[in-house]
Parts: sequence; structure tokens; C-alpha cells
Amino acid sequence: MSDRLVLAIESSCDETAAAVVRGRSVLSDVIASQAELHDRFGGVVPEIASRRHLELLDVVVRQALDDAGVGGLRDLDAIAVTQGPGLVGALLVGVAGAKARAWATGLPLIAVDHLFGHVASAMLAPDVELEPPYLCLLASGGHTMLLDVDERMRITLLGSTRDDAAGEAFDKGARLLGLPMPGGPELAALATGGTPGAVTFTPAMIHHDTLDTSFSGIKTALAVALRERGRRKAGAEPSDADLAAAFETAIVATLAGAVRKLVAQRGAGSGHPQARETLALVGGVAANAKLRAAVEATCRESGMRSVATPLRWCGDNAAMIGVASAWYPDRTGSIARSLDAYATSPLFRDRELVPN
Amino acid sequence: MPLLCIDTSTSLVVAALVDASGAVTGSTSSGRAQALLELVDELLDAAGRPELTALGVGVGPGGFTGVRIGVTTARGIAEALDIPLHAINSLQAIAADVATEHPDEVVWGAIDARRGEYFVQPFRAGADGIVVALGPARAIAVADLDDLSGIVVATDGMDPRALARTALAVVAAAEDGAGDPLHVVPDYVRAPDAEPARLQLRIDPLVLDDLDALMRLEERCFPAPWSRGMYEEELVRPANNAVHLAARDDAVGGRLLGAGLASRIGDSWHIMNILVDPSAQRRGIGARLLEQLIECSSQLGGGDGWTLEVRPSNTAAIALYEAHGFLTAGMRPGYYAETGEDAFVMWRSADNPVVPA
Repeated sequence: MSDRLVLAIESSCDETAAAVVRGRSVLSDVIASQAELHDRFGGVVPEIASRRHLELLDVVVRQALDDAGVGGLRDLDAIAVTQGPGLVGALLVGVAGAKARAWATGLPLIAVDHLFGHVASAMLAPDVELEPPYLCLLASGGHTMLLDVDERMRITLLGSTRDDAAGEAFDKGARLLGLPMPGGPELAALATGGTPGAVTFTPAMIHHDTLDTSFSGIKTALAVALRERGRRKAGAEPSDADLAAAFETAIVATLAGAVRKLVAQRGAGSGHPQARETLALVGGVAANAKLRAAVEATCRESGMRSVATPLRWCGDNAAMIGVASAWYPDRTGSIARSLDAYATSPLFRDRELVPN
Repeated sequence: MPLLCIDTSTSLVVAALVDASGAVTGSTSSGRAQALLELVDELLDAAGRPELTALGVGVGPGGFTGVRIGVTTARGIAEALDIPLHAINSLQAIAADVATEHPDEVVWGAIDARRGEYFVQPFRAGADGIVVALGPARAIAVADLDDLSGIVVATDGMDPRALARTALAVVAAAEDGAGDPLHVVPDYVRAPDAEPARLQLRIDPLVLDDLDALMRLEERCFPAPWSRGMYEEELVRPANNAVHLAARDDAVGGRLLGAGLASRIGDSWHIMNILVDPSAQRRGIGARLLEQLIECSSQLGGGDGWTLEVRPSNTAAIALYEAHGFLTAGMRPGYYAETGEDAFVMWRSADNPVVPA
């Protein structure tokens, strides 16, 4: 395993982030969030995000180097950067900043896929030696994916959402309930005050053996429940908290159900030629406590080991890009100087992602 | 001296190098801004890879993404090499040569801004050859280019030598210690193509059911928030002695964006608290809440008038209150226990029928 000292930069959406890692040790980890900036627009505005990334990037990088006690860029072994997927204008700020630094210092550049970074983020779990191969549930604002990760960290897409991503569903549910963004944590906090079972939303049933998921039905159920409550008025039952709890429970049940199917098909004891013994839970929605508990329980029932990304690295961050960079080749010379960002991950296009 | 200059604000990628002797070499490419470093690398190779001591970068205006790649790249190089970075006005680099050839005439630099517009800015060279801007850069319709009085230079791209000369003028005029890369930002001229989500603002009573949302709002607004108990106590006050208002956005499920609370104490009304979500500030919500508080409390009998305490550091709030007829009446030393900050006491008399401007 590599123990090179790497500066990693991430700017794919609305977080400007930099980290210094050595292997799996995170020496510094700086994230400047723009969430509040975009809240008033009802979503991330690409041009605003890109402008903010430019203002923040150098400050964040300086901070990451300082925090890690790195005297200068020349003390590093490589510079890693998120190449895609994401907002291209936003990505290009990180890519240009990383390329400039690599070029000026002669350091190798490492271009990392953002989704690969999430998949590798479970390796940041303390006291767990997570090594590939493993199965993975990636649940975030933009993605809901069931993945196989082989010995060489080659990732295969086995199932994904048919409509909204899990995090997107949380955000939309939160908006319906009048909560601020980011909706997931707000909705989960509200749900803690709800009475379990006061209301039930039926999780979407996806037939047959597909590992795909769907969340739009749960969102509709919440909208209908809110509208009906508005008509009744009296007593205003069920409460917002009851509805939030039902909503969260249904999303978690959908994801846990998908994990159960995945494990049955590909997990320990499945008889699959490439059966895996570990499942990793990664991505922004992996910060949800009920989801963590449900996935852990589902895996335990099936004799699978489960590993979840530590809370602080579930959302977008640069530490995961640094850790992931160990699987990618160095880029130098003309290839590094002309590196471009990309909007769509090969994981969508080819259902496969190979770190090269 | 070796000074490297780059510009990516037009569809041409431009690089120029001023070597130790002051000689200028330059190169351009019609490729994408993403390949800027390729061009720079070739230029430096041809010059025997001198050690750079300063950088200049065209900050636009121009294509947003192109300018951003140029500026981010230049900042990154300056940070890595720990050398100063200077901002170059791309329109000036375009206009500079013509301006110098025609001293005392107005010369406009123009860059295609797409969407049927050009970014333009007027310049003039004095007898000393120094080019100065006569006004700010702005975007105008293509058809209006003909109406500009003076010479209009609307080339796509620029001569690397002109870029270098413009950079040298900036460096010559720079004060000691100038060149912090973090101060070099693009001149976009245009605002981002985004409008804040339209508010469907509704002001109605704030009720106990709002407590959860109110506490979330309070935590987002203030470093030392009111406790839940304090709000509960306010909200259960008798309705003839209290006004509690909520500002909700019906565009997003009636989300609570702000709240205003006033209580009658003795013969006057005390504005207890006005809070507005940080993401929705500067959009007139605080003013609406204040106006409604005054209106509703007047209907209950305004008494002597309205009073409130405000942090002297909260200049936005003070300006709001002054615009609504409040005058600073005194000071309460150390009023804010958490910070030891003083409070201004502001007062609006009932017989001061101020109509907000």
C-alpha cells in the first residue's frame, strides 16, 4: 500500500475541499461549504458555485498544507484531483488549480473519479482494515448505486435508482415539509420527534431480481399526506415529525431491502463465483443514523461484515480523493498538462469504472 | 525579471514571456483553455526554462469558464512558486497598441461576450504613452458597437506582445508588496445567470406549532440563541398584549424564513426579536415583519410607541429601524451577557407617523 504524501483537491459540486493524506492517514482535511450560498436559489447554481470555488480554492489548499504541517508543495509526492463527474465549470477550477501546482513543482498529477472516491471512503473507517473486494451501497444527493468492487478496485454497477437518488428524495421531502437545505439531516432531526408507526408509507416494490431502487412513490405519498392533512385541519394530525419519521423509515427500508437482495445474490453464502464477504456503506446519505443501523443489521443477519464511512467523510470531501488516488496511475508531461474535467462518470456510461 | 503572462478570456489562448533582458516572446493557440499549460510549457522550453519571478494574468472580461481557467492556473502557479501575480485587464491588452499609436484618442477594447453582446471599455494613451481606462468595462449589444465614439478594437484574441506590454505597465505601477495571488479575481462584468428562487412570502401568526422550525431558525441566525423556553413563554402571552408573526415561503411548502415578536410592557410595545434566515436576508423580509409588527400592535392600541434594543455592531438592523422611524435613545452597557456587548436603545414615538421610504 502506498504511503505517499498526497495533496487532494475536490470541487465537483458545492464544496471546495482540500486534504493532505499519507496512505489512509488523513493529515488534514479542509471543507468550505457553499450550501448556504445556494439555498436561496433552491439548488446549486453552477456559475455561482464555480465563482466561489475560484475564490476559496487557494485559501483551502493553503489551510490543508498548514494543518498537515507540510512546509511547501515540494514536500509532497503527488497532487490528486477530482476529474469528474460533477458540474464541469466547478470541476475545472479544482483541475486547473491542481494542474498548475503539479506543473510548477514537477509533481505527478492523479486524476480521480468522484464516485470512486466515495467507494474508497469506507477505507477511512478507523480500526477496520477494509481491503477490496467488497460490495458497496453508494447513496448520495446525486446517486443511489449498488456496486461490486473487485480485488483491483475495478467497480461494476449492479443496480441504481430508477428516478430520484436517495439524497435527492430526502431533499425533496424536506422541501415539502418546509425544511431548509441540506434536507437530509434536517428531516432526520425532525423525524426523531415523530411517533414511529403513526403513519406508514409503503416502500417502493421493485419486482424480480433487479437491484434497482425507486423513491418517487415515497415522495408522492408524503405530498398526498400533507395535502390531506391540510384539508382536515382539526388537530393537524399527523404531525410534521410523524410524517418525517414515516418518510425516513420508507427510504431506509428501500435501501436496506436493496442491500438484502444484493447480499443474497452476491454476498457470503450466495454461491456466486465472486461472492464478497464485506459490504461498504458510503456517500452523503450514509450519514443517516437509521440507514447505518439498518444496513449493519441486514449484513449481520446474512453473515456479512459491514463497514460504513465515518460520518465526517460521508459528504463530499478531499480526504476520500486522496485515499482513492493510491489506486490510480500518476500522470505527467503532456497528459497532465492537458487534463480536462468530465461531467459523466464511466460508471454510468459503461457500468464499469477502472482506475486508470 | 522573467515575467510570464497568460490570457484565456477570448477564444485564443495567449502566453507571453518577458525575459531578464526585457525581450518578449509570445505564442498563441486556438485550442481550449484546458490546454493552456501546453502552450506555456512550449514557450518556456523555447526560452531555455528561465526561473520565473512574476506572473500576469488576463482577468477578463470574457468567457466565464475561460477566464476562470486562466486565473485559477495563474494563481496556482504563483502559489506553488511563491511569486507575485498581477491582474491584467484583457480589454486594455486588446486596445493598448492602437491607443499608443493614436495618443489622446478614445480607443475601445471589445471582446465578444456572446448572446449578441460585446464587453467594451474605453482607454486613452497620454503623451507619455501610459494607457488609462476612461470608464468601467460593460456589456453592450453588438448593434451599439457602431455608436461608440472613438476607435473600436474588436479582435478575437490579442497580440502576446501587447499582453506583455500591458503587464509590464501594471508591474511598473504596482506598489511594494502588491501581487498577492489571492487578490487576483476575474472581472466577470456580468452577474451569474441565476435569479434567486422567487419567494411567495406570506406573513401570518407565529404559533406554538412553529417552535421546532423557530428553534432551527434561531440557531442559524444568532450565535447565542434564545432558548426554547424563552420562545414558549413569549408565544403563550395573552393575545391583546403580544404580536407574533411568521414569514413563510409558500414556494417551498411554507418554510419558516423569518419571525417577529413584539410584547406590550407597560405603555409601550417592545420589539422583542426579529429574525430572518441567513439564506433569505437582504430581500426585504425583515422590513415586512417590522412593518406588520407595528401595524398589528397599533390596532391593539399603540400606547406611547415602540422600543427595542440592538447591538451597535448590527448596522443592517439599525439602518432598517432608522428607515422605519426609530431613533437611538440611549445605551444599555453590557446588555448582551454572552459577549458583554452594549445595546443601543431605539425608540419610535406613537405620534411619529413615519411612512417608510
